[in-house]
Amino acid sequence: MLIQDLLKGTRLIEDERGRVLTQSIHNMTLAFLTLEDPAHSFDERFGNPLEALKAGNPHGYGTLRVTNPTPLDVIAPPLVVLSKGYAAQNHALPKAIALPARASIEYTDAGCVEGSQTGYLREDGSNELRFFPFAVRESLTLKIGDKSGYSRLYPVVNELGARTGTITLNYLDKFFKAHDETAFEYIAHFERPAQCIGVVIFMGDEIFGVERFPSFRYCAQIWDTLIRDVYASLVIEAIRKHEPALNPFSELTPEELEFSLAQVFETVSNRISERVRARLFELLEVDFSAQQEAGNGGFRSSKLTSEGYVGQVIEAGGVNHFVSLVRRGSFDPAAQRTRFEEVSAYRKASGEQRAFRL
Amino acid sequence: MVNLIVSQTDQSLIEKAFLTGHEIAVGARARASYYHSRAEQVEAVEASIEKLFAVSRELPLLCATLPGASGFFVSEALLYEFAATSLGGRNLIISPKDWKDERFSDVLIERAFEVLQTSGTPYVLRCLEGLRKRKINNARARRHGLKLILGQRNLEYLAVKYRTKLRSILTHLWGRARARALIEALEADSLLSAAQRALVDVHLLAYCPDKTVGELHAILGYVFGVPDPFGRHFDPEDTPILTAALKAREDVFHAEAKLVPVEVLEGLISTPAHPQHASAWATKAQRDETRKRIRERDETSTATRKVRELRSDKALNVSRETHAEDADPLVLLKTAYTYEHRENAEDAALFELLHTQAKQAFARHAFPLAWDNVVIIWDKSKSMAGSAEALNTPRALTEALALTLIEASAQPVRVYPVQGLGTNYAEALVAALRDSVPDALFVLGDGYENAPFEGAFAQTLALARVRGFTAPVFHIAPLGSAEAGARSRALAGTVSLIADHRSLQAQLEAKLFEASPLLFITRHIESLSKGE
Repeated sequence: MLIQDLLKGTRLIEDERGRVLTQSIHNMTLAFLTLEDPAHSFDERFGNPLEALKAGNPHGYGTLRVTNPTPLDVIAPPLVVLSKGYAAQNHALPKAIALPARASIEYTDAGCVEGSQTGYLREDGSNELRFFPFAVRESLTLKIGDKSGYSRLYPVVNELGARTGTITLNYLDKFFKAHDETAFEYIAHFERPAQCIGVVIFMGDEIFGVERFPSFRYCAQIWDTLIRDVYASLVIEAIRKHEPALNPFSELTPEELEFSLAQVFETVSNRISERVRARLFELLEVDFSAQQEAGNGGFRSSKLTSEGYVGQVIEAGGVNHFVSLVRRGSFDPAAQRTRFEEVSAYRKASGEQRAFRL
Repeated sequence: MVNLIVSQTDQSLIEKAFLTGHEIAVGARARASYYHSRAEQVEAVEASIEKLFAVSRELPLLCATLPGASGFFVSEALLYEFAATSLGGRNLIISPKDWKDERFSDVLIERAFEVLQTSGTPYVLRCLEGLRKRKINNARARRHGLKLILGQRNLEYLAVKYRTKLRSILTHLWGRARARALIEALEADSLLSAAQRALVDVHLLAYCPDKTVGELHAILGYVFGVPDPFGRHFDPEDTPILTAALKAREDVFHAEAKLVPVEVLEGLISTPAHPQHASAWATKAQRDETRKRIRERDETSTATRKVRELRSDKALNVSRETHAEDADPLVLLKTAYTYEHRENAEDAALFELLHTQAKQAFARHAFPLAWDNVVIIWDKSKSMAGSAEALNTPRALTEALALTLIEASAQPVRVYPVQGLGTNYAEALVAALRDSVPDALFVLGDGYENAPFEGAFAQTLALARVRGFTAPVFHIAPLGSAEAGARSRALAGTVSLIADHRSLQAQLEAKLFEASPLLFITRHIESLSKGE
């Protein structure tokens, strides 16, 4: 399954000059996806997961029963369920889920994310729903289908703590408490364009992830939570690791610096746009193996793996309603690009050779 | 003359704290921003005041008495001062003798209340209610509270409009037993006993020597709900508003009901026990007609309120003069925005009218600007719309700043808007510098730059500086942000401040004084001690 199939029907949002629209904070940049045909946004079909869903675990730790009592289908990114006003063990899911209208599904690959806290989560809608941070999305995705028990997500929570310099131990809410104030600020940085249906996430110059959502309305409904809970973790990690902020001006050649200020700025802006296009173009050829999960109500969820990326897709009726891809930590796209260029150079040179010498 | 005791060791700490406090005082608002709830904004300001107080106890009140300090900040600073009592905190600026014994603290408190009054009576009452809610009950707080309330010139009107609030405030300030005793003393038919006389003199007349016992009986009797507030020895004609309010209990349409606030009349007739309820309030049509009649005869509403009610006036077919030129210019702007982008010609005309009135209001308050050739980069991006709790507030504040600068400048000001997809200050900077080099550049907006990348403005400005651009660049944010501890979110490379149109002049002067803020503090204290 190629990425270009996963993102079929979408395109990058451009500004009035035809440049790819990008917004950034520190060294994280978002480019935005929209639909070639806006009529294909399923605004009336999908509900807001943060308002529609109720989640609890009456049947034991390591499980989560999620109920959609509304007349709309609901898709949710990996959920975090936090008890509110009473003591219970917070839980999370390692995967995005799809619930048809008025459906209730019990997931047995949920995980506890609150250490030694006891107590079952109530299903009365009183819990707070959040999304799992993107900084550990690779490890989280690899936990899909894990049967090791309720503690299956502890390593992921600990990894999040290590990456972001937070003493979480096995408590995900410690990460939220430590960074919510900063993460709220990041909401202020990203102005979701109208008719946005997904994002391409860059860390530095390389694509780190891609997400696509069911509809424009859905994207608008979960936007603030996405920024706060999901993507902010990437910036927090980057700052902790002292990764440098973006500085495209430093790439200018001495000749380019001689241009007028307006030309310099134009050069920088164009370069950013071209790079986004080039990187996405490279990504389109990535081919995934898909491991399908049990479907429900017409929705089919598949775990995706490739050499460089992992992710998930939720599809129904031939439409990929939800896509989430993240680059593997072990994959270096710049190194692969260099190898590709070297191989291309060898091929070109060999094509030009008139005689071989061994 | 007040003695200042700032030591060399403490000077930079005081200066830094004062500049921070000044910024927060102007930008502090209890309303939600685009990104933060009201509670978060409130918490940020409260934490800031606590920090200021911890540095030196005079700081919150000194900042609260500066021009442009928001009503919310002033109120919080006062409540903190009262809660701390005269013994709390440390004095690093004004000598403890002057602060306490010579009662300079009282001067500051009274001045802060004067500043608070300019924000409107609801702010004053909210602050005094805060004493009750926070259980602040010391002699100093009671003394100031009673002086403020009972010394109001329009106490009769306030009693009618804010009856319940006044009762709650006075009950807290006097205590229930004393309040009851005072009312009984005022109600007494025969001569007061010595004890009653002392009670009335010390706890009532001492705060309002300009009012007679009869007048106070009527006003306080109304507030505390005595059956006959006027008693036998007082002429109701001397308190026409109270008389009208009492008469409105039978007839909200009587001739003098125009002196009674609209919401009081509506409150009376909405009660099922009111004689006119069934005939004038039972159905929607009756309610609309009643509201129309009340509004058309009303003489109490301010121009600002009438501007806010323009839309509902139209819905009710109310015909009355608005006098928009007297309205708060910020309200004019916010109301104008609600008529913007409408295809209806009437709405479009109303937008133009309100917008023009606002511009004229800013022109009337123009101050001389230190630079000739000024450029404004004006953030009109999505985040300036504000939150649902405070729709269009950042936008209105920013436009107020822009209009103030435009009116203040002797020469035409070039304006470069930032709007569209993303917030791209750098592109606007490039456009501004391409056209011609300004003497000063103002960036008006919340500072949340994201396109083409965060930091683009600073890097572009740095490049421009290397190429010889030397003019000062000010970034003015209209609101403090909760995540920045109620301060502005600074654009790198700029002189950053929070200001609104009323405080802009003082803020710019303060930045110009940044070289010696102690001088600024000293001058401010001098002007306060002279009662300026």
